Amino acid sequence: MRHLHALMTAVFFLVTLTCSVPFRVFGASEAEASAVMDGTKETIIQCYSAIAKADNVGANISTLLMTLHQAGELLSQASLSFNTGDFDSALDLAAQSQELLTGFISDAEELTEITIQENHSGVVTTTLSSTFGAIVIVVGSVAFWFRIKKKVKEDENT
Amino acid sequence: MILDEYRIVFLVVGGILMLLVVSPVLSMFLSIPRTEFFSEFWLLGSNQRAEEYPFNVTVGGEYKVFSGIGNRLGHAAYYKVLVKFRNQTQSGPDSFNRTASTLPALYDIRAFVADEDIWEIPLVFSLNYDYDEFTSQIQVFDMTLNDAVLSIKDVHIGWDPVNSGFYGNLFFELWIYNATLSDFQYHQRFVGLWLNMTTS
Repeated sequence: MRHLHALMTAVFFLVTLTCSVPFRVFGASEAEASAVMDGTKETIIQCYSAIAKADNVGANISTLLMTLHQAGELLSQASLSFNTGDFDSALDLAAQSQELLTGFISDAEELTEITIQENHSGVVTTTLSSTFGAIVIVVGSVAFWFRIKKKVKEDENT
Repeated sequence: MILDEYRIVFLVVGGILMLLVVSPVLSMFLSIPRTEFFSEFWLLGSNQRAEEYPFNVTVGGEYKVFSGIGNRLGHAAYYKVLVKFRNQTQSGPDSFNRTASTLPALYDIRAFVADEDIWEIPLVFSLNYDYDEFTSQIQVFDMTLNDAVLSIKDVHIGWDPVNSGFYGNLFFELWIYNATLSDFQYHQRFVGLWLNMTTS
């Protein structure tokens, strides 16, 4: 009975220890590392396409670019590790890169939408204010011209 | 009436004022079209100027340069800078045929650059090599670039009698992601340094 209790305790500690170890990859194969790296490359391309759209509409993409740079750097390091046969590091770095890009595309799309709206309201405001300014100048100039003309005429009559 | 003589002046002043007021709207519709779309790629010395490039290098000595990209393509671009090292006889990038070196890259640096923006990175490198007395050649083992150790294979550098030295070429090729091809392609730009690899 005592042995069984000790065995159960040992199993419990082993399971607890296994579960408490942070997510790390041990003994990754070349195929596994390659698959994760390919996935990361694809994610980066999708993210790049998203920020390219944001850039096209004139959004400020500097913050997103920094994140993408970091992800790209991790992927480059992963490639280096892969080429030297260190598949564990390659997989880990590629996974980190991919994790960094979680929510990136939705952020980029949101930024694109916001910028489009801002651009639209900017166009409306500018057009309205310029039109108003042009009307003021035309009306003001005509009024000013006739008033001066009238004043000059009055002065000539007196 | 004397006032009528100023009619033209009045109209011109009014017209100028009108143009000033509507210029923000005009600028939205009238813009000079860009006709040239290109990328810039450069290599600068340790003080971020086109001077003081490393030339005479020693084993383990650290050297700093800056590499940069300017994007004038009209859209955000995804670049890859391939780091390569060769001797005087190995394949290098060709300016006339616009082809890249056939040598494998030691490392790739990924860069994402917005339109009309630039990107620059410091590159600190050191070389690990040895003089082989039997072959009278320099054998290059590896290079450390920004703390990453890059293994260099099959690079043996012979004595250059014309320039009196052992010369290795560290060069960087610019590649760009082509969304149509879904792949990177050589962007026909490269920069590099010829290094006199001293043995003492």
